[in-house]
Amino acid sequence: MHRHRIKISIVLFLVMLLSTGCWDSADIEHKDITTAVLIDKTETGYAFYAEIASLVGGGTGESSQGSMPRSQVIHGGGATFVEAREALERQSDQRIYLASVQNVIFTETILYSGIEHYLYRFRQNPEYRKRAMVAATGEKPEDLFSAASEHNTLVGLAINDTIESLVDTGQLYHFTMGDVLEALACPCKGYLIPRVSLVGQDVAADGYCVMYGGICKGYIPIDEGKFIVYVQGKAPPFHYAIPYEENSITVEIRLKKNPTKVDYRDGQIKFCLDMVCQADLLYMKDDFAMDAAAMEEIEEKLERQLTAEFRNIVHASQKVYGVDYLRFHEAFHIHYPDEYKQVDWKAAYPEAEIAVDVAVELGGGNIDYEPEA
Amino acid sequence: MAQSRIDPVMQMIDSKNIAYEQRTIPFHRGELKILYIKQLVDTRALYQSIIEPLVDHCAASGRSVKAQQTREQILYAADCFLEDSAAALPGHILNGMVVVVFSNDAQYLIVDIKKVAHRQVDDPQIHFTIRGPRDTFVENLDTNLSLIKYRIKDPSMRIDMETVGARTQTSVAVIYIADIANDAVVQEIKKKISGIVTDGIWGTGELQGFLEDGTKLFPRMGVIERSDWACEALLEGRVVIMAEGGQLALIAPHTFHESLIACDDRYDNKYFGMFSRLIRYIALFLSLCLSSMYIAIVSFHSYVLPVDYNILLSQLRKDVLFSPLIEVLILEFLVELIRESLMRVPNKIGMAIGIVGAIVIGQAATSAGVFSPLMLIIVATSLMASFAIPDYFSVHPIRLLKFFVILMTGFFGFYGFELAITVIATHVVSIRSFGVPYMAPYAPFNRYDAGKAMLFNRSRSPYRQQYLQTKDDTRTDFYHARKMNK
Amino acid sequence: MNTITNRQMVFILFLTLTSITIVTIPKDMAEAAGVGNWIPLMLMAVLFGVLVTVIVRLQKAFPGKALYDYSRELVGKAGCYVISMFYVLYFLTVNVYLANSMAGMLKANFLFETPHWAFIAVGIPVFGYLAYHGPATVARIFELYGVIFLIGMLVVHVNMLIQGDLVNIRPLVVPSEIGRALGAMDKTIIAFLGIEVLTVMPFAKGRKKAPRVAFLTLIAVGMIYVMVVETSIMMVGLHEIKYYEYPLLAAIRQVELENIEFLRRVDILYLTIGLMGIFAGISVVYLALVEYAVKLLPRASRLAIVIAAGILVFILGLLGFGIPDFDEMIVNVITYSGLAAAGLIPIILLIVAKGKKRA
Repeated sequence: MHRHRIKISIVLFLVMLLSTGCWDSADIEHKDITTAVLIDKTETGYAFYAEIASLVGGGTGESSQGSMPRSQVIHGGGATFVEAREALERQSDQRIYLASVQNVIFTETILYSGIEHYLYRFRQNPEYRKRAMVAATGEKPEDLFSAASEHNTLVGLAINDTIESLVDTGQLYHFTMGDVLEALACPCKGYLIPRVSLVGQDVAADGYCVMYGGICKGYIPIDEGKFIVYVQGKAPPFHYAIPYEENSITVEIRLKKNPTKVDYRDGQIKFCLDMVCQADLLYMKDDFAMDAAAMEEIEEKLERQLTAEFRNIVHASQKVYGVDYLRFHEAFHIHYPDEYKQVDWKAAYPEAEIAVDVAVELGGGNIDYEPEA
Repeated sequence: MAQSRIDPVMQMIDSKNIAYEQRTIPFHRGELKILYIKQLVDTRALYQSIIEPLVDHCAASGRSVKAQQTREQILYAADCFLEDSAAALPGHILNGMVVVVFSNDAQYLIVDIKKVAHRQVDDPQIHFTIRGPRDTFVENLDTNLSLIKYRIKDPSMRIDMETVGARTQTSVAVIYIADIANDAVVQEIKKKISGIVTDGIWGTGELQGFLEDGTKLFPRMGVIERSDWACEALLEGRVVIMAEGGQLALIAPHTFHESLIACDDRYDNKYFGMFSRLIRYIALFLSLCLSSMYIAIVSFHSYVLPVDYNILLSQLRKDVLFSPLIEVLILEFLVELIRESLMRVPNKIGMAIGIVGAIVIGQAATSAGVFSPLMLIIVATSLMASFAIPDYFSVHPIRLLKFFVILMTGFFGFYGFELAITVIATHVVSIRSFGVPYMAPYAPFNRYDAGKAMLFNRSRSPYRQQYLQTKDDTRTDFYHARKMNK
Repeated sequence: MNTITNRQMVFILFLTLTSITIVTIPKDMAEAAGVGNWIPLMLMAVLFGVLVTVIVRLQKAFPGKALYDYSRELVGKAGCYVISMFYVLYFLTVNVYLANSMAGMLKANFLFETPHWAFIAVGIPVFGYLAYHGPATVARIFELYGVIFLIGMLVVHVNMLIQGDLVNIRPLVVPSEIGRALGAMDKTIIAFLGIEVLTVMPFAKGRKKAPRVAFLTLIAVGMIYVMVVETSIMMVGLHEIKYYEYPLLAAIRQVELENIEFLRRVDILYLTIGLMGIFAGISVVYLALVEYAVKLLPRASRLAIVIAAGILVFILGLLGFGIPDFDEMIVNVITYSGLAAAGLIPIILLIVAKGKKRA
């Protein structure tokens, strides 16, 4: 009986305790679902822009037809990030929900001035997903968001989708906020942030911002940067057009291997990038039968052109920007871990010798080809 | 002198105030009295098997008659025996027996021509089957015993009769196969039955309450209505308990896993049986946890869903009146209300209640914004999942515990959810059913039993369940013989 | 029958050791040992593997008995009391540490507004409920939870292995940093403490394979730690991981299973399955505390001891939040007293038992 009373007392106590709870209960419809955050530097300090998914509402009727929600953009500015955030919150009638942020966008202004401080804030905020994509823009924030509202889309999702589709085709290099933080923590690492801009009223990727630490060092247009992913060793297939006589032949190229050989002697760092690509002929402007000689000639041409392309990329990274966004430091760290600790990579990287050699294995693919018997 | 033997007996019986009938038949230098309760005996058999032969014999023979002689030479009744104790006579009369008292004999004759109105063997109402036999137990104990005896002709099968209830004197049969069942289990059950002190019981429901002591939510005895299932249990080494007046039988020991087994699993292909069992395990999880997980995600941990799902959830909930916790509690309560009312009302009204419930809750409440459509889907899924569990009685604790999990989750999100699950798991794991761990064969884990629990085929399962610790654990030699012949 | 099987022992060791340390160890190892973090982890696994075989051999030599029971035979009543008091205080400290760590981790990552005391106040009755039922029930719970935890963990870490960057953990061995790696071994001690809970789990007779199984379990736990640390570093980065107090969670948050639509984010796996592991670990330590206290106070009822222990853990836990650097202090205390609890005392008892020809 006594034990029974004790048990009942414990249960009653727990029920009372529980009834004081629900500290963290915040229903999802009472949160502002933020899909994109844009950070800008203004004359007076900083500005935050947050794109919030507006809800058409209700369980029946329009929303159940699958219509996209409209978005609403709020912004707030202040002398510091804290003030800017407070100003932003004052604009919102509900709690700003950051776990749904798909994209963090930086304007070029703040990139050139430095985003380190913001990145430290971002790192310490557990609500933010480190897997959110990062993008840069040269557009004015108001223009960027108003273009999206014209199409009734969400900027965050639109930028995400644009970058993802370009990554799949090998035209762009995918970077998340987690990668940015990692690069920030590593003193040797440079990185690239995809840059987006408006083409008409559509969001399009137009290149990369070259970053070192938290500061932008320059800009690479997308045409010049399209082979960066391959130098880094990622290998979605890409299409390449090569002129041949009066013809134009399109090939599909796939990177087979990309070993980086490292040598360090007498203070001189040498890299040797021996890339092997598998190429398949896809189609050409005028139809003609290919023979072994033609294939060989095309192969050699491909090798020369690809080598030149990849060398340009390395040259830009080394000599033009002096930022190792091609991750050569990783290869050096793997092979020479002790020397890596002693070397000042920022100074050593531009002086390193990097030899690039591309070998192409050309196959017939879709085109009529009869090898010699 | 003739009267002197009978008179004390009649006085003793009269003092019990039993409303019985009597018929007196005189014979040479004496008389006999036939005592019975009219409502409990087959009057036609009484006349044909007892009264008529006795009257004819007494009139014709001209000699006195004694109990033994009557039993052997006069009566036509099949089931009769001699009784020496006069004190037992009232009990026999109350039990529906015909008692014959002789003026010149210290022995009495007891004849069993009981006839009580009862249902015929019917189709199953609780444990429906497609392929299996459909004969079910009824309220008459003899009929039930006959359903088992015609299936199991093993001479080792024992049917031990006990009596429970000071006023009802209900017969309880404890059935087991002596060379398979664990003696300790049998003895424990018999000891508990004989230790029951009560006015009376009406069926196995009350009996189960007495046999399962302690405060545990989950039933520690299985409840079955089909005779093939009872025979299956006997062959596995379990004990079957049946009571007069009850149409369900109890089996012990009983584990949690058996609540998720339908007898059809054994009749069907073993892979389909495994698939069905997997579905039921998932159904159990959904029934217990689905509503709580909805609350945890919507109210606490929205970040576990991708952003497009978050937006959709927000849209669905935008104009809903209640918070998710209150919404779930109200809906679950309404569902329980409908479930209870459907069980108590006649069939035709039940259909109307179902329609009203669907219209009121499904259509009107959603349109009014009282509940969100997703919540309705979740609660409906949870309800359907509870119906997928074959053992109807094992679902009751799940229905109860669901509210506990909902409340814990409503206060603490997934932390509360996990705490609630831990409490439930602890409770379930700590239960023992007559010495057998309730979560066997998973905890403590037995590889053979766990494998057979999921994938069972009689021809390839030579051993019985090891956790029952039966005397003879070999079920079949078929598999071994086939293996040898290869 | 209150004894445990080999399988139960494996899961007890696995879940107890990996309880809360699995969340913090990637940071500790990245800071202390860099890329060579697997070296101290595996070495410590071997060392603790040896220590666990000592405990298991003792338990095997006295079937059906716990350390309290056979230490009385080996070192006498006084020695037994001293040892038991030590274990009571030790497990109480560990309990406070685990409860506070769990509360801290949940507050920092999942339930930001909920106060610390609420986590402990609601959790302690549940852990106490589990501990109240005794070693057999706890062992069975571990059997169930262990399988689920193992499967969940494998799913998550295999995905981290696929999605992470292998470059972050290379080179696997830097010869010049082996000294640094060996010096980091003291950071790994707390990751392997927990084997001493076996002292309250009686073994059945026989069990010849138990010492070997226990040793292999510790090796497996070491490998699991290596997998956790390496995959976390692969996801987050060797330099970046040092900035997170709970790096495993930071790493898990970066995993996305694209093909599983609405369960794309694996946080939910950790919230459900990971918490199981933590609860199991805290419960078994609570059980150990209760078992020793019950033996020391035979007149008190088990329920009263469970409640008293819970109240004590709650109060000490709250006090601990108010003390600066409490976590560091308590980790130091646990590390050194844990070596005594898991190593020194069982070794001494085994030597005495061998001397008395009991083992």
